[in-house]
Amino acid sequence: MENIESKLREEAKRLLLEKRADIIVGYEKGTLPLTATPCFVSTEAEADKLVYNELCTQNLAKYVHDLITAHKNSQKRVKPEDRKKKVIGVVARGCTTRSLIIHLQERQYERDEVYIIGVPCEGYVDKKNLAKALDSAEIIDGNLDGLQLKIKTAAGDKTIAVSDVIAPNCAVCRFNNPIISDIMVGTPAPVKNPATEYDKISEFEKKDIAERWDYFTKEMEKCIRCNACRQACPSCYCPTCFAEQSQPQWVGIGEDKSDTQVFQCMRLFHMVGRCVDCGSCISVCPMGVDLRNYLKKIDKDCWELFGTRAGSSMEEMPPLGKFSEQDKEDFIYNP
Amino acid sequence: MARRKFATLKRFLNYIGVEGDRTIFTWVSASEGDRFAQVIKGVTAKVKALGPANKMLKNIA
Amino acid sequence: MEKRLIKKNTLTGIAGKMADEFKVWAPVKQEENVIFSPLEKNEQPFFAYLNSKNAPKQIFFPHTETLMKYTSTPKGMVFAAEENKADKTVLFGVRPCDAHSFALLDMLFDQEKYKDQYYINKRNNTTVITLACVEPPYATCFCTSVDGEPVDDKGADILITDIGDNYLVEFVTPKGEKLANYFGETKADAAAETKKKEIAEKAKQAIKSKIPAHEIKPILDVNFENPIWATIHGKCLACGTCTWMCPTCHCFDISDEVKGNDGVRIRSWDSCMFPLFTKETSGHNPRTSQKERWRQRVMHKFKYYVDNFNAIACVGCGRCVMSCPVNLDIRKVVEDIAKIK
Repeated sequence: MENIESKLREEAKRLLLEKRADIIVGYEKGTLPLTATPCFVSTEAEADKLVYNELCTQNLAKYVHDLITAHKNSQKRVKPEDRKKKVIGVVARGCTTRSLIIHLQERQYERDEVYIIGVPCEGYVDKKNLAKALDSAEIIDGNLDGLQLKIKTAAGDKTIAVSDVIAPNCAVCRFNNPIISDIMVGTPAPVKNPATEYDKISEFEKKDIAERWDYFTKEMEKCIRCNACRQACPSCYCPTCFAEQSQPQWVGIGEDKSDTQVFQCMRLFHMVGRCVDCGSCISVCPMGVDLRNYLKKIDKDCWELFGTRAGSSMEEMPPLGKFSEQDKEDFIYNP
Repeated sequence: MARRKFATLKRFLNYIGVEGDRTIFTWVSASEGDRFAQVIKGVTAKVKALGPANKMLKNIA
Repeated sequence: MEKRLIKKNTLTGIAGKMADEFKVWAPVKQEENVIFSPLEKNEQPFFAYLNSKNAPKQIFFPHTETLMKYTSTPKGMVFAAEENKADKTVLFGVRPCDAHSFALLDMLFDQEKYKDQYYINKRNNTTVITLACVEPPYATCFCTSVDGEPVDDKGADILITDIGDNYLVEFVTPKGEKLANYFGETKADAAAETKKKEIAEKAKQAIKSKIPAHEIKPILDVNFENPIWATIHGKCLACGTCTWMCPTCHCFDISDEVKGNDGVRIRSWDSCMFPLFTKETSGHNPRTSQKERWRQRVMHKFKYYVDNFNAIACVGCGRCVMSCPVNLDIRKVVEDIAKIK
């Protein structure tokens, strides 16, 4: 990955120098061992802090949307002829580009407002899987050596292969290379193993309805309503979320069981044809709620019913934005 | 588009554990009075068979 | 006050025995998380934990709490104050940083000009038993920078310290002493106390993460408009993880929930990280972006609380550092502020 990093920094510097991007969203080293965190680069000197490796978890499309929206709001009181365009550069792997496609299809910004620096992806390290592999021992120090994690923990040293602790969504990823990009840094990574992507969902579908409800209840009980899932999600960009509307109030603000369930249920369902399985909501959840069980189901239904995968192509309309005569009718009730 | 939403909603709610017979969708034209009555009868029967809904229900006080 | 020694394998048994008389909150393992939860019958507490995922402040200051109820009748509204009852409770095995947070919350909820009966009632009915950190749980712990120590009795009624062969049990307050009969008969000797002091000093030295928490107060006093505020919040997602996990964050919202003729007035946690936090009825929001929200968070912890109560509203547990989804590290924020000239 060293190679990619140096190329990435060069590219970022060039973009800033040539004024092709005003700011670049990327990743930098985090303050905790074995972490990477989102960062913003607006000067050439800052570009040297950019990193790109298997520790980069966040889907940066969220920040692209935030930055463009903030810029547009700041331009509202400027005369139309004086308005400036701001170009956001973004380090994007497959799932990030899928989110960008969703933004573009949903007319959130124009294609020339974002400069996509495509990067290949081998999948990222999942915090939960890593903790399991380390028996929850605290990581004191660590570094990434190729595709090996060299870790110093409170319980001794350990070497773990990245592929053993990869996030579940990455392990079955179909789109680990950028779908659209203005420039590609690095060579495309080998495709993952998407054939098994719906196995767990099919298994869960076969469970008894009471068992399914119990699982949903149990998972939602963990939720503390911190909104991290919503905030990290690139597809959750409503200026005011339904959960925060007060006239009428759709859902209570407390931790009543029903409120949590309704909030999660509605947020999840807003993801039909919009969830790119980037895993951001799951990686940010402080309580480890199993959201993927539900998001992947939505993805599966979208594929089975409409033959579409969210953000997988610039040309294809979002599944809920069109219909087809071939759509199944078995859900329609006929007495 | 609405039908696509319903198709996925029905599947999704059933998946989390809300009985499929509680999410019912059909088309009734303003001219189909008899069909409307049939639909309502059918829906009522289905829901009665399931009993009161108690999931995601908020009880205050 | 009195000090006793207990055998190391007796802790779980003591907690279990207390459960007959009290409601006992203790750390329990739920899947991969250790959280504080009321012990159910025959449930085993999990004392081999580093620190709990969430702060135990919810025991005194629940996430959601009913303040009163009302019903609309033909004769008009009938109001009923929610019965402010609190069970006799023991909070068993909190870490010193979290116990420290109770002392800080007391300053706010139990002060001369404003007394929060809901908080005070629960607080008065609860005995806090602290389990000292003989070894600092995490590399992110920075309690020594914010007036705490890994072996410390602030906010505690009883302090339990692992001194090798035994646990040293110190009764810190009269409330704690009332539970003395649970802790056997063996009086602690001077040697045990010396040992504890040694251990406490060693634990203190082992805390490596340090922040200039006191040094930034004079800087914050005069830098409300400093350009630094425009730089620290960039990657903040505006979620509430840090404030939800924080043992000292205590902002709340009061709202009404109505169904038919019945209504309740509830108080629930609110977070300064949420855009809705300061949104006014008119639709105007004085804190327009995450910049102002982050400034508020830092100011509240390291300036306003010091102004009001002469204490920093941070106990250095490091939960926000570990839980922040985007690694926006408050230690780094404080360090950066300290560098302002």
